[in-house]
Amino acid sequence: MKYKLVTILILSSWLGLPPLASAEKNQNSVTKNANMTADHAKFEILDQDFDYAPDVTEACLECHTEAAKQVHQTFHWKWAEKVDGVMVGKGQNGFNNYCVSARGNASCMQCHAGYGWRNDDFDHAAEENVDCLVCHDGTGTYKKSAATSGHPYYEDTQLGEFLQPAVDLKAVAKSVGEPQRENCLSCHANGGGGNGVKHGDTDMSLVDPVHSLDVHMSPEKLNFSCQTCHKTSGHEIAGRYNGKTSFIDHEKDMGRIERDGKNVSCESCHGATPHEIREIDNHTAKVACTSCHIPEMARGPYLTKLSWDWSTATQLKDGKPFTEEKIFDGVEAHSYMSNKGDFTWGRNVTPQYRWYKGELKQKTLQTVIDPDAAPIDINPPTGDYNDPDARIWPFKVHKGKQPYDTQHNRILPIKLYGKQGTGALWSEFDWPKALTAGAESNEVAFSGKFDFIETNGFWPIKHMVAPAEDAVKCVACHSRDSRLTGLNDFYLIGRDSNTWVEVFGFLAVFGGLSGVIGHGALRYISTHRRKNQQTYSQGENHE
Amino acid sequence: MSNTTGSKIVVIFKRFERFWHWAQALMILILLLTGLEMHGLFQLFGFASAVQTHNITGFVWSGLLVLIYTWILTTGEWQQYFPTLKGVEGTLRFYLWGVFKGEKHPHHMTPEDKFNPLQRLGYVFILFVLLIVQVISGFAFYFFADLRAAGIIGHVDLIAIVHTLNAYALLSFVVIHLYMITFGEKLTTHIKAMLTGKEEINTDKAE
Repeated sequence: MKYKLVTILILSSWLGLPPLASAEKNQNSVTKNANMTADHAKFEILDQDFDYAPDVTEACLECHTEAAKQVHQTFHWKWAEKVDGVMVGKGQNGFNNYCVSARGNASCMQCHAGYGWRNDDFDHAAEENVDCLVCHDGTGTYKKSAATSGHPYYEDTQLGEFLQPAVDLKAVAKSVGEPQRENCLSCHANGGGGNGVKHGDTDMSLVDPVHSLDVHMSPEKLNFSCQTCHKTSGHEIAGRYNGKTSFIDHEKDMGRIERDGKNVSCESCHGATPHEIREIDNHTAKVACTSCHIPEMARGPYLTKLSWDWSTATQLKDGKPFTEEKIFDGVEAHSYMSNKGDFTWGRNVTPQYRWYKGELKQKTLQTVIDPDAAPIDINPPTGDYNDPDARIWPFKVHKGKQPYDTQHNRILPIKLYGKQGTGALWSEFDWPKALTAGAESNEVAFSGKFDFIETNGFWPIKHMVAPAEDAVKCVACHSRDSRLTGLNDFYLIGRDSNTWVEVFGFLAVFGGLSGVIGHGALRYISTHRRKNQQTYSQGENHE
Repeated sequence: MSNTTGSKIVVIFKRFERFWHWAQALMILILLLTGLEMHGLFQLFGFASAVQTHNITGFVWSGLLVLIYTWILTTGEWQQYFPTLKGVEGTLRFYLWGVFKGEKHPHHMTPEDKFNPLQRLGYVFILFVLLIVQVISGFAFYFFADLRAAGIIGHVDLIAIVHTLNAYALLSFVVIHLYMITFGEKLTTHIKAMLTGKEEINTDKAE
């Protein structure tokens, strides 16, 4: 039952349906947000039969005059940031090893906090294009459509087996309040094509996590919202992005004003030495809290995607696309789809560990890669043992195999979503056409020659913090069979040894032992022999 | 050649000496077991318990060592550790040859000269080099995070190498020591002496 649900979720989300929702629904927004002083249900301007979502935005802006201008300055709106002189992000130049590039794929834009970013004609300066509701909806019924690049469903729409009812914009508008977990997770848990696909530590189980899954967010105890850590200020939300590191340092915040709106780390609240055991506190200068306190990724009921091989896509059976399913860690999921290729998935996955200081060096569609150096690290974390800002962090390393231009040695974007005739891979199953169209909409060169190359995508693991008693045990790292295998720029007790010392130790101990045994044996034999001789020559001498 | 008239029972190992010997034996055993577990050779106490036991034992042991050194220096016992090459050859010859022929040990134990020349060399090295290096490298290990934060040392590898090398040397000593104590009049003579302090010694002056 659950498996089937997951399959539907995965299937449905790339069809444009942020999954899991909302049968149970919500009381009045004021009772839900006890710190709010306004009940939007009582606002006359919202009591209209809206038939177009941007009209709702205009109604919001009547009172919240600066809101759209604020949103326009945020990552949620811009989807790109200038780093080292190059614009990089979902909106421009950035790529990953899931669907590679959002630009040119109108369906990806369903998660943009705006309405109708179908192509480069989208007006980023238009205030009414801001989607207030996706974050502030309190009904749980507001869904953004892939087909319309982020407008809600204005009509009842059949999505596979699932009927998505038309949105009631009046009800949604009246329900608005502080963003709930469902609002954030509708996009952030479903990136990459479905629930849990991308992050490894962010999936729909965080809507209502048990304490063992997430000590901070579980309603059993602290019941943090997303914004408890991702602090907001004028619609700017703390979080890592290209050009913005995930944390500024490893100090406690202590209420300092200059840190408002800046990114938080575990240490912001806990400090760098929160353990009562010195030996454990000694780790924190080099080991991130997350490395021990998030023992596995995807510890909820949902899988996370571990690999995606595009090179096998476009196979058809009797001229038709098909899918195959397999059980991964007890949950059924697609192992093959004609439009996407081969996948592997996992649950309770041991992370990989890398030095990290909150910064990922994102390669772009302009970066020239060395095909002999495959797998290519798309966004490798930076830092090493000697860097005082770096810590050992857990990562999900998503393995991809994706198209690149063998002439230009650059990663190629794919035109995935579109009607017949647009070159879209998911309609025409033709690689050259899809790559030509993808290159065109991303304004990159395509020589016509392509192949597939292995890539690694890095996802820092920081959510789903487990209870202290579930933390990673010492020997998981301090042993010959260490989790930190591969991080070789320092000596790790229990894992490492010096060959000469071991050879000396072996010779000294076992050499000593065999010497002693040999000597003892000779002593025993010679004593016995003498005794026997004495017995024979008894009488003349005794004892 | 041996006769009963030329021997008497004396206290070779004083009370405190026996105490520190056995306390040290116990602590070295604990330190070796926990240390080698931390080195990744086996799992016994569990890593966290091994670390804590090792650290506590290490501190207690270094405290005991201060007492031991004080005792050795203030009682004049240090003279017993004063190394000499005289008689080394004879002792070696005994262990490699004479013992198989039923010869007597060339060294005559007295309270003032309880170690044979080989023991003098061994114990002065172990007590005043190995153990001190082990304690110092142990402290460096324990305070490594602080030393690193202070910019004094960047990596732990050198400390680990010295400490592990020394530990293997000490383990090797333990193995050989456990065998060498069987070279008394009877197999158990020496161990009895270390328990009771008393040993029957030959009082004949002339050889």
